[in-house]
Amino acid sequence: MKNSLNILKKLPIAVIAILMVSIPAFTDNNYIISTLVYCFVFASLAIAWNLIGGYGEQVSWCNASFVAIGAYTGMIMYKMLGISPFIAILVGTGLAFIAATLIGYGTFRLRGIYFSIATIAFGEIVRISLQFWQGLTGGAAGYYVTYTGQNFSALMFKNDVPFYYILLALLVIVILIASWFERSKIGHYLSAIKGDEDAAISLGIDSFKIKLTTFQLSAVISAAVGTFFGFFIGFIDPGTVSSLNLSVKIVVIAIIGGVGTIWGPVLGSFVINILAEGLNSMFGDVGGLSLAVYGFLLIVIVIFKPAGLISLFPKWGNNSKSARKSDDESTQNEVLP
Amino acid sequence: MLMRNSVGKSGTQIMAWIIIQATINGILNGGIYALVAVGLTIVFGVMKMVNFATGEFIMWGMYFTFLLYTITGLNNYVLLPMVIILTILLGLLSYVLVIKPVLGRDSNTFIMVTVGLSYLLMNVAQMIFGPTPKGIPSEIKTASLSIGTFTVSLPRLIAFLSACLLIIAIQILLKKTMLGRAMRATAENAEMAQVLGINYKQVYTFAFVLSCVMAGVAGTLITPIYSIYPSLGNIFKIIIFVVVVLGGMGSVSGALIGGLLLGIMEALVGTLINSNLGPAGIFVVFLLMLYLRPNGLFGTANRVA
Amino acid sequence: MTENLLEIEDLSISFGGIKAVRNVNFEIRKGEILGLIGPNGAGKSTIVNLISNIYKPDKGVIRFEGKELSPKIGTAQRAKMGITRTFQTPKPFGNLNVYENIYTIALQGRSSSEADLKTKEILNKTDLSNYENFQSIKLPIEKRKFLDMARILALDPKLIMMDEVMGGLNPSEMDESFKMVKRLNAEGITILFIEHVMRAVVNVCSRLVVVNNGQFLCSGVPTDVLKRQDVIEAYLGESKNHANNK
Repeated sequence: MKNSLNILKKLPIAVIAILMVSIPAFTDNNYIISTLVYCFVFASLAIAWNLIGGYGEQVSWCNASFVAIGAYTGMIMYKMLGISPFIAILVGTGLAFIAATLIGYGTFRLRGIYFSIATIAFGEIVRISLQFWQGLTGGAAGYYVTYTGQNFSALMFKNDVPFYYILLALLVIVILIASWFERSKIGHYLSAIKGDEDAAISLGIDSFKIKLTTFQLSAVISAAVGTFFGFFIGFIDPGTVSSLNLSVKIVVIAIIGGVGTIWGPVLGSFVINILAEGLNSMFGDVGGLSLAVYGFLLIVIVIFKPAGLISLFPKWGNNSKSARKSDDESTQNEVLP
Repeated sequence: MLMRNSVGKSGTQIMAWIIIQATINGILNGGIYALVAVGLTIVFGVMKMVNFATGEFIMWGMYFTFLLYTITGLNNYVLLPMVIILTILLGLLSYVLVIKPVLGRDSNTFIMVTVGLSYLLMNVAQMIFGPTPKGIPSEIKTASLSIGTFTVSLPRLIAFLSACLLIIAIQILLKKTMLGRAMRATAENAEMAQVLGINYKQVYTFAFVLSCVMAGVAGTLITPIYSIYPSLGNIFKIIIFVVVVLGGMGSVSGALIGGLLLGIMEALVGTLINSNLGPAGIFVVFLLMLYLRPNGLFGTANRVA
Repeated sequence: MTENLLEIEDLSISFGGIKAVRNVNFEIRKGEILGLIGPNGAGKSTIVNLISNIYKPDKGVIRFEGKELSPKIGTAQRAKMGITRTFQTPKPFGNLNVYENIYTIALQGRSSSEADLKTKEILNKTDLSNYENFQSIKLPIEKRKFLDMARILALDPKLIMMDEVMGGLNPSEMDESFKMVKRLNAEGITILFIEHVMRAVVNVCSRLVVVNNGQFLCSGVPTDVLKRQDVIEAYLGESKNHANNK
């Protein structure tokens, strides 16, 4: 790539980065800060989903479960054992890794639809289990950690500004991981698998192992984000944190933003979360309005702009990994295969 | 589940009774699961796609029934034809606006678009009817038959028998009518079917709307049993996917047997272990089956790697 | 004495009661271009699928370089060992361009700069240098077949099983392909050539194996084999069946 293109591409990122870092200095409004934290969190989660769902085209409907595993592990280990979430995160990600391995072992040798449905089943198992183990998790009533004063290692702060920086830093780390992934061998192999799995296998690519590793990475990142997210919202319950609704929101963000790219999920997260807040302030808490809008947007984007909103910004959204065979006219056929 | 006073019976006899009663309940529930699963498996067989919004058509079938009941005061069985008409309209509308534009694209696209449809239908229902569960008063809600010492809930029995009738009707449709043959031909080999003069677009439309109708009918049949709320679709759809996958994606008999088996499994786990874990039991069985019989009970080879 | 690269012993597989391959024995000698011929449905593609582990045999043994290939050794692993195959319809990675199609495969066991060098080398060898940035799905069909071959070359294969690569090519495209096949063979790559087009078979193969109804019929030099009565009858039987099915 030419040097001038490089700088052109990097300048807006630098500007945005400086902007993001300095926002808390300009505003005291916790509502704005908190909304931005949601944007960061879901951007990270959508990027993590995108590894397996976008680059790998294996649609997972249970990434919220990994978030929940991270959140519950962090909070339970702190409340019951006094262990800092910075350490508990290792346990949470470990559990998520195991879970992803179990799901992958059962499904990655089969067609993609089995994986998708198995993730739905797994998601429900996790949610029901969390509800059922009341002694450990508080059940449907939820779980929380009482605020006992400012404590960095326990992720307790007077306001949300520290969370802002922590989750922004985490987003940066996740973006770096995703960039590395795109350029790595496994990223390349995954896009070959996406292109034609049978051909890839016949050419030496162990598609089972590649998909499994990608899914494990996706799960681990989601759980890590989940640990911090849990402490940020302070109160978690299975119906919110471990739900299909949350998994769907993550998928919607990735799709609307732009599947198979890095900045697509980021854009999608800002659009959806700000939209949700906007709807909330305009119409109040009309149950279901934001989810109905997500559903509507998902349909519209998939039909009219399947490459996502990021494709409106060609320099940011265009790379071969996001190209899908089905978008090319020459492969559109009248009859379904 | 009510347990009769069984003074003087031994532990094993009680256990046996519990298991058989649970199995009866499970079979009855399984009939409904099977009905919807057959519809879903037909869509999968013909269009090679999974309709994620299936549960919402069940839910809307129930809300249609509720609306019509509020207007006319008639019971749900009498309202069935009207509900079918409304469901056909909803199905056609969904097909034209949501499905048709993405025909020819990959199966993930279909899933995305039907997920969107599912959330749209679910939350429009919530915005219109509110989240509070609604019910339709019915004289037979608590009615039951006694067969020996076993109780058979009447509304569940009616639902089960209606479901069986419908499934038989569908089988006749598939095997004996031109339309059915067209559907099976398209399922077998879409290109060949087109060459033979079958208008695949009509076949797709019919298959999709048919599955919506089956879901809507299932909804009407269960109004005396379950209360109506917007996210009811979630529960059913998850169970039904599992049925379809277990049954072997495209096999009608697989969907039928899968539905019955899962109904039994859910009832047994719910009764013997804990009623809250009933659905979880299904999923665990499903995941186990994936490991042991990856092609489903009846399915054809689906392996990739 | 040339050694055998691949040996098939007593290989059998049935699909739902139909015996697709029955007790087939033959060897592929190192450095040869072996033609595998027979009427439609004879089991040729099934044999290729068995060698590449798309199917696992019900019975029989496959030996590669003298060592038995356990069915546990999967397709991808066999490809890395040097056992490769093409598909009847080319299968490019549609989302990638021509360069990336080859580069992704070349990455296996190489650093990115080594893979880049290898890719450029292969692009030259297969006359695809001008198409480097083409979206692979936009390639014309004969170039797609070359791309299939190019990707295989990125693996430094020992055996290439070419499954009916001549289909759909006009005579001059076919001649180009013959040259390519012979060039590859001259570099030491053993080739199993499954083909219907007799002109290609006669032009390219040093030896033939004939299968019919899933069973080994005979083997030998093309000029001898193609004159044999039982071979002619096997093909005639096929056209008779076609006539009857009309």
